[in-house]
Amino acid sequence: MQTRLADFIKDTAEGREAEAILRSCVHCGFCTATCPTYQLLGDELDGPRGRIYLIKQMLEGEAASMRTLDHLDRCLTCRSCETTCPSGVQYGRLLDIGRAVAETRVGRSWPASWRRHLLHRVLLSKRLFARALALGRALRSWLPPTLRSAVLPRIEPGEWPSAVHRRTMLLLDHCVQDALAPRIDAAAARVLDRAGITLRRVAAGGCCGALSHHLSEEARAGALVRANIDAWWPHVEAGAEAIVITASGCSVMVKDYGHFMRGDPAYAERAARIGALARDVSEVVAAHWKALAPELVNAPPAKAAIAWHAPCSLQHGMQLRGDVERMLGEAGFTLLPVADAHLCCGSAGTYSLLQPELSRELKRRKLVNLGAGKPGLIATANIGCLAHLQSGTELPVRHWIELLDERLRR
Amino acid sequence: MQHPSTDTKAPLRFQRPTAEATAAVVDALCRRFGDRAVVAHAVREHHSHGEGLQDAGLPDVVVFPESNEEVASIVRLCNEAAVAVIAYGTGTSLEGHLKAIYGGVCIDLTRMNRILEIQTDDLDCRVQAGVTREQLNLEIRHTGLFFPIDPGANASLGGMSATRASGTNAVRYGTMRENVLGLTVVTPDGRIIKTGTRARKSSAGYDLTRLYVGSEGTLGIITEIQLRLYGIPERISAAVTQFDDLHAAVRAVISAMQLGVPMARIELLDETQMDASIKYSKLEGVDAKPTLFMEFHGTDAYVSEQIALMKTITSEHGGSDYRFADRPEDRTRLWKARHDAYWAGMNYLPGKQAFSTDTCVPISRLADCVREAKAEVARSGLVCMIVGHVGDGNFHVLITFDPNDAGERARAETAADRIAHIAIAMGGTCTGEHGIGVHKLEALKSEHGEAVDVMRSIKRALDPNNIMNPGKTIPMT
Repeated sequence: MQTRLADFIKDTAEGREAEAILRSCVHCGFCTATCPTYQLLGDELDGPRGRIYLIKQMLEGEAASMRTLDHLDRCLTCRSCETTCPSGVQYGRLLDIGRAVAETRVGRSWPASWRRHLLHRVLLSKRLFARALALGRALRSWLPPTLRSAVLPRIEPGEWPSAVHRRTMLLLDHCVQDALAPRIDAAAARVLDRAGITLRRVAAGGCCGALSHHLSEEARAGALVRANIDAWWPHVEAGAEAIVITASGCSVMVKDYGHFMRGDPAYAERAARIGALARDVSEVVAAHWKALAPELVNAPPAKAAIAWHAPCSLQHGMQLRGDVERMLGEAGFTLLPVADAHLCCGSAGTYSLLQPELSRELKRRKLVNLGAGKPGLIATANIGCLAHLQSGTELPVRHWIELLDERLRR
Repeated sequence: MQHPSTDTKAPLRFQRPTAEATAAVVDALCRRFGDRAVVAHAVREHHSHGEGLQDAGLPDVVVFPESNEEVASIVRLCNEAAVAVIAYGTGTSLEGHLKAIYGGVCIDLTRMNRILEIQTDDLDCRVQAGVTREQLNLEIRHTGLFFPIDPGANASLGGMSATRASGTNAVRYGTMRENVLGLTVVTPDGRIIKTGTRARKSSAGYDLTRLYVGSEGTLGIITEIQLRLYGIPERISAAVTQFDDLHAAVRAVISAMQLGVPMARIELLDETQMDASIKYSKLEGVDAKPTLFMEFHGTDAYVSEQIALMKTITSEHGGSDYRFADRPEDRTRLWKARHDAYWAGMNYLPGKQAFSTDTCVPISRLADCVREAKAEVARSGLVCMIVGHVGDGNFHVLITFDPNDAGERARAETAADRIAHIAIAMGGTCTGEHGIGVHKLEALKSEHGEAVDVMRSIKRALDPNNIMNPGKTIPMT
């Protein structure tokens, strides 16, 4: 695509990046076929190609309107289009740039801004979120069914392994997941313990920064990223091998730290190093599968058949496909085929709260596909998808690492 | 209202309506269609061009009708105000058909995407214009039938009819010309007419179906199509063979055609195109060498016989051993790579633009035509790739150029023009399946001479205000 960026952005780092991305797009439109919002709405401007046009026009200096911002807001950032795109267009990065520009040029109404601000505050504050959740759990039986299903019941996390191994890895201090499902991190620690690795919890920023980043709260996102880097750095220097993340939505963010902090000379280098050390828990387990698999050899087949939901952050964001499915299969689970497995479930971080109608419809469709083979449970790899899907089904929705942990502990 | 001339030599005219006249039409459409009439710049830009050269001309409004009556009402409104009308299917035409030279109303038919009837016993179906070829095949697969015409893009059947498209299967199953039995057309004055019947043949009057097929939206808007279908063959076998020399590959194709081997598909890709497709479509087990993609349809015995005969022919011309793709997923991969050749070419040199020639010659002249086209390509000094439905004598030279270098673009256009004239001189045509659009108007004159005046008379008689896709297909003068 030919581009003539306007003066306000032409000579900035964002401008140069956007221009390179715009040039790589040849408009074939293959992306629209795999875009969840295009499938729901059928509007060119609610698909990646249309949004690329919108962003291009805005960066070329044309006026943006609230409708422009709406079309960009409706994007889930699932990046399914990036998987489909044969030209390698980095749509997610372009969208980040486009959203930031649209927000400053168009601005949001104050109720909308406050809503986003409040949401940001509550989700990021472990104390506020934990209180809200505790209240929800206490009143669960009195809540209307729609709200009740949204409050995950508490499941005991089980013991954190006490053995100390020579090999250590750091665990991301997850924000929402710690309150909603502390059992996930504990399960990951136990599985890695069997592989001879100590997973160390380090009090750090309290969030990877993705939540703030996707709400365009860039200052807060930057502060969180710096806090994490500061907290992890001494451990990395002392020999910690990796930063392990058990929510794939966070994995994709931490891996991107280098790019995110590239404009900050004080942090750029360390951020790149941290980004390179970041691992989704599925990568770490897959790398040590040889050590774990023998423990599963004589295990009887698992009773429940699984419908696997690959989060977008896993399959599109990090392009990790097949590992979890293979490991669950070898661990004795039957994985059922699921139609339209490449499509987003509608959770997408805060999307489910900011675009409830689209999100609900995507969830409904996803659960129909996941339930088609009559599974005993649904497995996934991201707390966002887990809570979102659980709010619409009676079937248990679990993190795959919990299932593996249970198989290993049998 | 513009007054038509009765002089058969008189030029066609179209004057851009005043801003007020256009605004009145846009307002009326927005009132009538609500959200289905869009003036957003991004949507108009998206509807201003197809593939190929990107010389955009923006329509003033894009409307998404859902019925024949709605299309008729839009056209009637435009005819009264003498505002241009351009029909849009999937935006994959290659000759600038969609460029809104005089602004006007773009009618996007993608919402008219219903399959109206399927008669398996008669092997035909009726679809709305916005149904795409892949959608049709997906929806009829349970019937054991398929629709063979397959241009590279997943185009709409309305657009394919309007450009008289074909594809890789044309050597066996023909083009849209052979496969459209009848149409529903909205005429420029807003009438809804039906052409053709469901009978396999008819001698009833002028063949309006064939007139509208290939009319590129200049005579009316096709809204429904009656199509022929075919039974899925008992056995389908695809194979690939590679050559050291492009001309040897072409000679092998000519021999096969002259011997009457009933190939279903036979496609040529030159070494540059193969290099691009290997990279883009991640093809494995093949080299960047001149290559034939082939497909054989029939009973088990019949296919084996065809393959044996074809092997003899290609090996005589120095072709390699065959690599077969018999499993449906392998065949899909192979043909997907072929269909994506244009995008592979675009992706081969990022930042460059490209357009494609479309010459078609009598089969005996194919080798000469490819040789002379290659010489033109060498003279231009530009990166080009050849890909073609060689069984029909039809091939494309994808010519790439730097859009910011006027010299490169001029050289590209000169080469394309010369290649078209080479084919015309050999008794062939400047366009086998893409159409005239805005880019081949001069070549059409060379090809048809005086007959173009007759075409202009037809255009004038059917569309006296010249509102239907003005400036395309028939040279104004």
